[in-house]
Amino acid sequence: MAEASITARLTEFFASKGQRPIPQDTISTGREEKPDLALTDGRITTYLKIFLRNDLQERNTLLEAALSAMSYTEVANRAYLVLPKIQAAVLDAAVIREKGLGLIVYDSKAIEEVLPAHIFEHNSASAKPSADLERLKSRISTLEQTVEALVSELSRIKSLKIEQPDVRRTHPETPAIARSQKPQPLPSFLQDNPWLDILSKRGREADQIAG
Amino acid sequence: MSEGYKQRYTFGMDFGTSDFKFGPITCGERPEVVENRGYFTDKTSIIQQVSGPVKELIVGKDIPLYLEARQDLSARLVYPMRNGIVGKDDERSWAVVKELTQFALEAFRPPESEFSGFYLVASLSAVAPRYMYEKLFEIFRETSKEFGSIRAATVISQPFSVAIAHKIPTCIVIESGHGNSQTCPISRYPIRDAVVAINRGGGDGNALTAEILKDCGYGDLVHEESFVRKVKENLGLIPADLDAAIQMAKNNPERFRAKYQVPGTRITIDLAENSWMRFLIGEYVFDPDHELFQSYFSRGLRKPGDVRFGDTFFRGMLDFGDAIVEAVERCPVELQPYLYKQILLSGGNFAWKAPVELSDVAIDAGSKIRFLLEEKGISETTVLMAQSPQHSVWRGCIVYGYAVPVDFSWSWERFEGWMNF
Repeated sequence: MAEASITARLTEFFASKGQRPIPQDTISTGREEKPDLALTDGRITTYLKIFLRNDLQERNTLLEAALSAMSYTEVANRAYLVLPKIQAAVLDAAVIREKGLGLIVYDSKAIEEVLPAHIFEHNSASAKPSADLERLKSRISTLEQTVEALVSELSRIKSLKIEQPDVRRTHPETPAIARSQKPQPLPSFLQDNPWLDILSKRGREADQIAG
Repeated sequence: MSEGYKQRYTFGMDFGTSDFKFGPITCGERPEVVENRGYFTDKTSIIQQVSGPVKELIVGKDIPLYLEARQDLSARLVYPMRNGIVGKDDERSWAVVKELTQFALEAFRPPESEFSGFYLVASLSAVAPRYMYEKLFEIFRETSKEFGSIRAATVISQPFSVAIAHKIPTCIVIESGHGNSQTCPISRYPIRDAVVAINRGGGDGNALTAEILKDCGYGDLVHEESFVRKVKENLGLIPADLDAAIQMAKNNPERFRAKYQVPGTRITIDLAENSWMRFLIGEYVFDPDHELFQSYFSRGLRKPGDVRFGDTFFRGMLDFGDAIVEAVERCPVELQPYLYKQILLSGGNFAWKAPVELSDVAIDAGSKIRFLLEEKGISETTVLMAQSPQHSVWRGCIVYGYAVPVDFSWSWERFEGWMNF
């Protein structure tokens, strides 16, 4: 219940900064577990590791969580640790800043960003894609191929529609020789042809005797 | 309609004497080719009644599938443009022209939703009379109404198309086909009043070849014109000077020996000691007025006569040199030197072999034209053979359709422009 409550408040907090939650099933991750909350504004992706009061019974738990949050920066542009305000004092902020992590503290009344996270720029060409991303790419590629095949088939069917008996009149002997209408380079006989200039002036020049 | 639309959907059609070449601009360098003919099926035939309804008129590459081994085959197989001209009341020929037109357009109907008809450029013989243009436009109008495949159309002459395809704005084009030949001056426009038509073409060369084959003992083979044509193409030579060539060939018959093995058969044609006759074939096409041909005329060879087809007078015995001079001299004096400077030969009747080993005697068509003009005192000439002669008319149609503005409407005075449907 407490977890749902803080998640909702964090969502609202980031909404005021223009960031929307990313559905859990589409969150990309590296080797580590998924973040507790992921948000994006379309350009910057933010991952949060949220701690509830009961999560921090042992001192090492926080250390392990911080290390885990660092791995988020392999995929996300920034990562935050979210702690109850009362327990934030045990952390050394300098260490967190050095690792580029951000820190958000909360209590029953407010949420506060005490340490802004460093923005990690990810070059899409060099980024190591996650397995999910790879799967997604593969599915898009398959879909593109399917769409191309459908478009091609549709064009072929349209070009052959004269063979359908209900279209005006049939030409059963008409060969299927319709060719691609895609833009192509001009044929050689059109290139550098002085007649193009002469003929393009037809009707715009003084009367000539055509014989 | 925009220029961009017209350029995307320009369509060319060349109604040649033997072949019909067609296709849109997207065909690239070469159009589709089918024979310019149609086959009228026999509705009463038992086979057709058994196999189900068949169209009355078949065109395109499927014709052989419908041919029947019948005596009246030649009557059912109609070649509408054999002489470049279709009779005004020749309904069967016009039916074939209409069917070919619709066949061609439907074969290339684009799938795009923006398509609302081609800009069609058709090409006819330079001697086609006005009624052929009218009839063709009527066919295009009906096709547009029935199929929506023509947005606008125009008709230009084949020599004009050839000049356009070869990028030469001022020239003389000589188009020589199966039945006749036309000498057409072009200077940015086709000069219609200066066209000189000749009632002589490749078919006359075939006829003389058949007579020579008879004289050499092969009379039983001359009934197949396609065979005779092959012999003409393989054995016929154009002499630089006929008398000198005959003299040399008679003195050295082995050097000039004409022998042709018909591919795929056991037939070999060997003119042996009569091999000098191979020069007659080439000479006859260019200049039939030599005394040697008189003996053939007297023995039954049809002498090319002067005839009138439609509005055009065709000269039978005019040599190509005289035809060029006559055509040029109908043009303004100032223009004449420029016309002589570029002479373009087009059509299958100019495709002759000139073996290197006989180059002192046998020449190509361009050289023969140059010699004929030199005899008449004209030396400043360049004679070019049309490249890809089979496709050049279609290419000219595509250039014309691509360039002429959409708002240039058809004019019966100019015989140019778009007829909108």
